Amino acid sequence: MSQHSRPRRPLAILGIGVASALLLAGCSTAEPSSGGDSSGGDVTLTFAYPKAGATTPWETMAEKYTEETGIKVEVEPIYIDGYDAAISTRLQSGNAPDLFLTEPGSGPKGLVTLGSAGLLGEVTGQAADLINSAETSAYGSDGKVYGFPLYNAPRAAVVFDGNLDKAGVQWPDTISDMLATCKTSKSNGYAFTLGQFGSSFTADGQALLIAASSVYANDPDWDAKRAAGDVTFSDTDGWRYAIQTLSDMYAAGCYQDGAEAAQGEFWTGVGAGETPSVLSLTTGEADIWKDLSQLLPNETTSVYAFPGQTADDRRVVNSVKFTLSYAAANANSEAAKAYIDWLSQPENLQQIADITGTVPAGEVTADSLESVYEPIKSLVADGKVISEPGLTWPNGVLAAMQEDVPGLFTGQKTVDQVLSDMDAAWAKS
Amino acid sequence: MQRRTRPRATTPEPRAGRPLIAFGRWWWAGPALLAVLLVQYAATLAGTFFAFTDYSGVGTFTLTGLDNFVAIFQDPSVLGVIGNTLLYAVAQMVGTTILGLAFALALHRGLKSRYVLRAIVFLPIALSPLAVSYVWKFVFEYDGLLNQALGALGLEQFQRTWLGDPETAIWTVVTVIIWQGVGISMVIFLAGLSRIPAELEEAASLDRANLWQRFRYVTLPALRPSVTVATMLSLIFGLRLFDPILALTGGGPVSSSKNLALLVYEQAFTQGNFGYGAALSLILTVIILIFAIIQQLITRERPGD
Repeated sequence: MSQHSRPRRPLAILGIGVASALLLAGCSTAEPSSGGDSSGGDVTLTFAYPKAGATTPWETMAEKYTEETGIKVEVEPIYIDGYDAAISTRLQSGNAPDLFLTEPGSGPKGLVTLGSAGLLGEVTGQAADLINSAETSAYGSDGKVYGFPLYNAPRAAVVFDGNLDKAGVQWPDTISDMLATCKTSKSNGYAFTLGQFGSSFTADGQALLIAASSVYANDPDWDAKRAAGDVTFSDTDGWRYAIQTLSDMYAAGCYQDGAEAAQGEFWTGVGAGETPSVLSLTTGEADIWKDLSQLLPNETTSVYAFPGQTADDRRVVNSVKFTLSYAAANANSEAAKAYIDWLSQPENLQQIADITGTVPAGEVTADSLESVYEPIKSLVADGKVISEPGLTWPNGVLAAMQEDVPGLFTGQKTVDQVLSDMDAAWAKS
Repeated sequence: MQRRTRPRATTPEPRAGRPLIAFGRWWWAGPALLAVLLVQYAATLAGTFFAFTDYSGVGTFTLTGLDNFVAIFQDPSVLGVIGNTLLYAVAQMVGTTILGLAFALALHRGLKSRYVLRAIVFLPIALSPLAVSYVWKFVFEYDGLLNQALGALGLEQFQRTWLGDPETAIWTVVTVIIWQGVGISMVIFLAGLSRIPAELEEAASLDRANLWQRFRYVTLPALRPSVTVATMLSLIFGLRLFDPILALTGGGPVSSSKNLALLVYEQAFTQGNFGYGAALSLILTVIILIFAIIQQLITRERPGD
């Protein structure tokens, strides 16, 4: 039964709830947000972003825009833990910021999720041209896109150069070499990579990095095939290899002690200027090197490709960490579009990339990489860059992976169970 | 035997001109009632409606009947989560009741420093559960105080990943909630103890009752109402637990420390399964309601009380 033909009694019940919420919120109806009249007069744009790391370009770009156009942009950082809920709620109540960061895909602040609900305005022109044509399905629905990429952040290993030397090892090219390296570096007091499996993102971040070589290097359309029902996780050898490798990494001591429950403890030491006893950070975007360079000024970092099933199968996973969108119901939509057009100009994208330590939005080329990315330049030059896997997976699939992977270490789950749970989550969606 | 009758209370003579209080009517509570109806009951009813839909939190939805409930009861992991929910509640009830009673008996009278000690025991309840949990995390994390202490004592064999071990994760949470909940139980028991006439205990002493007998046959029966209130309050607090689990273990590893409240949060706000989350929330509400009704039945006044 559709929403429009549901019985009147539940509608009345719903009406009471909605009415009470509106009464308590002190608003009468969902009206477009307004910071002024876009057709003239004093327009003030509002711009929200999730506050996490120390390095953000959004205030700088807002000031630059004001200097160039005279239009004020008020930047609103929202703590990252509450960002998704805040944006979703404000969009539906009609008081969303004029501009706000979103992300590709079907996550809570995903362009597919919010765009297909009719909450976002369409992005066109130069900004839309920045989208990789192979990823268009993650940017909207019905042929429309609702956000544009702000920068590219490779998902690769951020390696502490000094620790690599101290541990007496070289960065490995293959998984089998990595497992041997883990044992050597652990015996010298260094974990190969930071494991924070108490935080959900570690499990999928790590698994997708391995799957980049074992699944997507030879089958870049695997996600589309999974969506069509042509393949499953359980019957894909590459996925079995990826999940098994996580278990092997744990057994080989690739992670620090207590990794199965670690969350953010690592940052306490880093914030105090202590270099951690790990060779690398591998579960997020590589732009973390910028924060590390500020917190640990005496350390140097380099971005390496994560080891592959074979050296030839190594891939650089390109992540579009954030996109920029505007609300469909927005009195300032013309002014918001103008800001999007301005921000998508090459010199502004370059400035964003410089501040964040990333790669300018658009096609990733070897020339666009700064020195910290030197170890992956040859892979990029050879075209061994893949789009981020899993962008269009149903939410429950990633959640199943995040939930189950720590169970590999505690003996609660087997590789087969992890894969079948992911397939079951897909079937439920 | 002739039954004695108590003299009936006489109503005061009506005065000319009604006293101000006589203007009091049920509608005096109107604003408060309206607020409760709108904030609590209307929201609950709206949430109940969504339990029968496939609403994702954004956009449109369709009515799905009992599908969410069927899915819940077909999922063995949810049954495990319901089990954890009841375990937390029972653990908090038993732990805080026994320890609260012990502290109340110890600090009821006699000790000169009892007022300071009472304040110390009561203090945790005044703190944010989330803040308390993050402090305890420094104790339980792998490089935390507990493992450091075990190492210092030469007991390395007992060191473990307390928050990441399916056998211990849930008990770290239980430890924290009991530690924080003892204070409120102690205060309830202190209030109960203060109502026991000293003559009763003196009479028991004269009858040569030892300490245990005095507790068993005098103190405990007199504390029955306090025990009921303390146990039911802690049980219901335990059912609604959220912050300590989120902060300490996140419900892991693999749901081994997850309860219904955390599962509702994950489903509704993290995964966008708002309808499913609402259905879980309704089940949690029913469980709490059952215990609340039991509490009302146990604590209602009986003839002779």
